[in-house]
Amino acid sequence: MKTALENPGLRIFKERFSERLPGEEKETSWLYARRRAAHERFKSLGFPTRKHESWKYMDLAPILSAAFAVPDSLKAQVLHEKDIRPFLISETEATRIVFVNGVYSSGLSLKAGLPEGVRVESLSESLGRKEEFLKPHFSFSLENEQNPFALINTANFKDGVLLYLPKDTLLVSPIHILFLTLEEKDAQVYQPRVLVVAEEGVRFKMVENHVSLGKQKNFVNGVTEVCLEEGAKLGFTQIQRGGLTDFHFSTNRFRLKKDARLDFIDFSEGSAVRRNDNAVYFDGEHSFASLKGLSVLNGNSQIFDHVSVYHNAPNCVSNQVYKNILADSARSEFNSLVSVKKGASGSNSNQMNRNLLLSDLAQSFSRPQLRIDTDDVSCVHGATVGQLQKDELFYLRSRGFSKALAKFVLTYGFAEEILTDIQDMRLRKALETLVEEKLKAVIGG
Amino acid sequence: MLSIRNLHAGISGKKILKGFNLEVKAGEVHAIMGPNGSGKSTLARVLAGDENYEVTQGEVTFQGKNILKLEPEDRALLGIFLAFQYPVEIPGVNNGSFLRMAYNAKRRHMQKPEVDPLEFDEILREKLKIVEMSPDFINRSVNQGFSGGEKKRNEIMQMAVLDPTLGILDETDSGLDIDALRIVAEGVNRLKKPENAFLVITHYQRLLNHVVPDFVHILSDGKIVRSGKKELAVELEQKGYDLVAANVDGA
Repeated sequence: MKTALENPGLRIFKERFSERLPGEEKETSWLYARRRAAHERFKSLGFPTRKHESWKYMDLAPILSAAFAVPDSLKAQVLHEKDIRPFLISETEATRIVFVNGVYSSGLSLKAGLPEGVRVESLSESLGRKEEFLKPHFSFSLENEQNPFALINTANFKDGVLLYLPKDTLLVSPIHILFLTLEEKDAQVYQPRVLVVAEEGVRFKMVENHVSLGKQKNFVNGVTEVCLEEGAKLGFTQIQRGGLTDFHFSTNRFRLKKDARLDFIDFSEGSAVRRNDNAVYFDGEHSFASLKGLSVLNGNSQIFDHVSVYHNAPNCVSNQVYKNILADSARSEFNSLVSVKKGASGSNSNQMNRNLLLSDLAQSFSRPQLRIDTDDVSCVHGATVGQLQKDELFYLRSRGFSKALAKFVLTYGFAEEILTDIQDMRLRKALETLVEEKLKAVIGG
Repeated sequence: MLSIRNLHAGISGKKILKGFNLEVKAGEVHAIMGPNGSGKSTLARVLAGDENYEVTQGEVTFQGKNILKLEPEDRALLGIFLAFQYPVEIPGVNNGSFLRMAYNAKRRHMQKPEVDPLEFDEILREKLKIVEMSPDFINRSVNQGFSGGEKKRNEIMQMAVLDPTLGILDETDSGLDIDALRIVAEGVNRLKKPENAFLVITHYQRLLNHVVPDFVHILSDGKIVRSGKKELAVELEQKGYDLVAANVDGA
């Protein structure tokens, strides 16, 4: 969709993020070709307007017209372990890779005890080494990409993370990725990129932890690509914290081969605008994807959860559960499309969106959709919007719970379903604490 | 302990209690019986502080304190406990932590130190025996997926944990089979002390075979039409509400 919008802000935005491609000289030719292809596709798609179904409820004007600082001006910040400790998910992180203001920090990253062949490293370094084996994985869904911001990232990203796990790797502790953005004088644009390649039979967990400090309205435009080869299993937790004035886009693209399994959870504390855009491509039979989202939003925060699941192979299962807790004037959108391709019989999908509104001004929009081109499938969807029930509150208060504590307990109970699936107890506890803290800030008690 | 004088109350503009009077002393068990729609549940809800009900007239004092202006949680902390007719299911909230939070709220109110999960676990295991519940109840969500009987036993267990001064049982016997009824009744009997009192609200006499009341009151159209000793419940069972109420009119 082309847009007639040509305000000066948009022009600057386009010039800055889509007209210049980095790395022509130092990168491999295939990578540069991919960047060019992303650029071309972006140009043909253009920026979305609100007439576009997927962008109907999102006002992009503040992003397109914002005066972001030139990202090239960023310098690496010298931080110490103690500076980042408050933002770590677990005190005992053994493997982590840290970016501060978009710049890889080798000093803060830890790679102790990784098995032979496992790579946890700066993506620009690995791409700089002209590694051909990444070619089939990097931007694997580009030709189908509908999100122009994902294309902008592909064309323009400077650095990010490569996780590579050779065949049959078994990791017990999660790999932690921390993207920390510090308070700066001006608003910044960050385009983190993560590429995960898990070969056959790999089992591991990863945490992508975005923490933003300050109130300068940054734009984070991240893309994470995950390729799970045959039988690979991943538990992936993505967390967005701080940055209540940020625009924070997380675009995740998953490709699952035969018998692969993905358990994804997104927890968002809220930004001015957060877009969590996930697509799953089932590329082989009997694979399984669980996508769960939980947000606790207050103020004017908005979350847009977009999910596309492509059942391109038979006998795959996809399960989506997205829950939002909305206080004040917060808003949420759940826009999910499950497509079952001809021949993908035995497909099984579930799309569930539940919203708990804690205020009369909070709003949620829910659009689960299906496109089914085959028989013998089971596709279920549902959406609910509700408030705390008076009789539930009374029941708790009649047991001596203060009104605030009763609200907290019921709200936490609503959220808890999303957290119970996290297998790693330490990670689960950490996430429970984050949810509790945010809920207490929103509700009191 | 509890003194209700000329209580008028209703819901959504509908008058239900129309001049209800009752005096309850420590150590007593009072049964309130009455047909459907006579105002039994309204009484229970009003005493516990349900905001859906409005009190238009009258006074309720508990241990000398006017409680009608108090929030439900403040009444609970003073020692009033309502065992619900329809206990609420709370998905995602663990029964054990729910009980501990309630227990600790009361401890805080009494200016006693709170108990940690380990200490509380011991207390809970003792209380579980009272209602013959298996320990895995502790780890299930509050009332979620419980059978009718399990929900009612859970109410009695909560009552056992919170050890109220005034326990109000709102049709706790409804929908119970004979075994569950016995367990519930025994639970109440074990909690009975000279310092506390119980208000047993019921439609049928059968619970009163197990929890023997000191007084029986018959509620009809929002007020007590007859009061007596436990024999009144038996008479009621034999003659039915119509006749007993007619008796009153003729008396």
